[in-house]
Amino acid sequence: MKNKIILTIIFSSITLFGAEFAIVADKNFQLDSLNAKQTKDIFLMKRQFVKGVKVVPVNASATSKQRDVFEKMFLKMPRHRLTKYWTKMHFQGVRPPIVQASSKSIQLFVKNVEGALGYVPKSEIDATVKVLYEF
Amino acid sequence: MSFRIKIIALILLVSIVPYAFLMSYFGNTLRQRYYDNTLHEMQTQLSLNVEQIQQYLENIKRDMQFIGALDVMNDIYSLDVDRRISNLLEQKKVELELLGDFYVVDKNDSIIASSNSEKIFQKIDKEPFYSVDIISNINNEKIALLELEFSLKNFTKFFDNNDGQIYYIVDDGKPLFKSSSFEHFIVVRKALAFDDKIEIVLEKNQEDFLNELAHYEKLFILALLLGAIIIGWSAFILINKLIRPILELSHNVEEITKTKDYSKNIEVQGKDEIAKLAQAFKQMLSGIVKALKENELLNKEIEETQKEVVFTMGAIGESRSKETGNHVKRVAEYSKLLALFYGLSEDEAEMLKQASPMHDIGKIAIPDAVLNKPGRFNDDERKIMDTHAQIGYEMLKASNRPLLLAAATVAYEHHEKWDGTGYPRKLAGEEIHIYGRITALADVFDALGSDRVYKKAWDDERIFNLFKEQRAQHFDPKLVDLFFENLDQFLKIRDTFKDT
Repeated sequence: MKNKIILTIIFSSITLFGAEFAIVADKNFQLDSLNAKQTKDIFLMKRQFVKGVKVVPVNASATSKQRDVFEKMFLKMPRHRLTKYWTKMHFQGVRPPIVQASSKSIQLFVKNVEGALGYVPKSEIDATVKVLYEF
Repeated sequence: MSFRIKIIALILLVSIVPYAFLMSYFGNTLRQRYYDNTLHEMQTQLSLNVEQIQQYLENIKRDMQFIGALDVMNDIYSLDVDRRISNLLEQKKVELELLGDFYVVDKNDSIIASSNSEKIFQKIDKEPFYSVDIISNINNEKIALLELEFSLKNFTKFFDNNDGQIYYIVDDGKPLFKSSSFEHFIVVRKALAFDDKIEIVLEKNQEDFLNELAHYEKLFILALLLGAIIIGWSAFILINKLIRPILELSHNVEEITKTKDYSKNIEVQGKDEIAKLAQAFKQMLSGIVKALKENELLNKEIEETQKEVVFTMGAIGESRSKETGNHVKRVAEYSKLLALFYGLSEDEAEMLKQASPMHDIGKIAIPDAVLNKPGRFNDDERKIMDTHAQIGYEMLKASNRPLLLAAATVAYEHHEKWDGTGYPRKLAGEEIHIYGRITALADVFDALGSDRVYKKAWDDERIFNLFKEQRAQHFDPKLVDLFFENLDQFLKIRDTFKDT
């Protein structure tokens, strides 16, 4: 119930204020920021390294609101195009980013896996991660 | 024991005994084979079960390896806070109907995810039954272990236990999950491939096996008996056929020995040794018959000769005294008749008939002057005349022939009288031999009824009166009575052998 309210707030605030999500990494991550192009390429698995640093993107679960918002507002690709894209990539041996179900698990994952990057609502960011990009 | 029984017993011994041995050998082989088959069948059954179990284990392993390679295992990094791994493991547990649990264990032996939610974040305390490495597909690092805690009871669902058979597990010598037990059983066991300390055991109730076997055994014994009966029966028939000629021969010989009928015919069949024996016996028999016939003929010849001689001797005596020849014949016939009435046997009567003609044989030694003197004798002449009895006796007594001895007796005693006034020995009553008594009566009866040189024939009435008078004086009273009782028969003889 609480989550639902939060999600409703998030959804409404996105449309109203724009930059409500952040790409986060572990505090010890070697880079301090990423630009939009780099982030997009990372999440489309076009690159695994940024400036020589290995990166591991983490998606939110496919049914979650923040995934929906991430794809529409940031990647600017609807689901059917993404599906087509990942199908094509599959034949080149590239699989979509691994998925974590909740913001909590995303941040735990990011903290525990070197080079892992995930997107979480700004309101749920805890002290263990640092923000690399906002949208 | 008869020949037939001996032969049958021998045949039975040489056929049934080996037959019985052979059959029981076959029976045992059959039983052994049946047992082996049962055992083999059980082994096959158990092998299939063990294979199934091993397949099941293989499947679990493969499932675990598959699970271990899934993307979702990256949730180990986030400590499975979303319980996606645990849910998956739980689902898998249900799907496999597993007794036991899956654990995802990190490097510190701490349980991150499990199909048993109570165990999460505890330390693993048991050696896993099976474990696979979980390697992250992000960085190819070994991030955890997927372990399986497994109960051997899982195998019991492959056990097809029923009244006749039970399965159970033996783990390091200890039986597990043994639901029941049989008193007598056949057992097969097989170790699992991944751990030879674990054996699957199949026990089958031996009673069932024996019952089933008993059914076959009954049939077998029935067949054995039937075979024995057929052998015995055919032996009986065969022997009967083979030794029947012998038995027939034996029977005939026995019959011939008993009845002394040597003319009995013996049939000869076939050309074997028995037939030859029968043939030989037949020839021997015909030889005997021939010899017997010849013997009989000779005997008859001798007898006839004897009779004739005796008769002729008698006739000679008669002829000297000029008495007619038929006197002798008549006396003979009267004597036989009296002897029969008196109660002597036919043989004796016949002998008397033949002997009586010689009663006056002694007269051949009496001088003609005395013998044929007409008129009465003086005392000297009477004395000479009376010696004929003694003389006749002396002539005949030396013989050892019964007929001649009888003739001697007749000659000696035919002038003795019942009251003891006769001659030569003045015997009386039953001291006189019956032959003498009979001949005396017969002689007097005929003599009185015939003409003699010294007298005319008496008429019947006078004779009968004399007989009545002389009853118990001259003659035996019993004989006189018999004479009168059967007078007509005597008269008939007199008529038949009349003097001409």
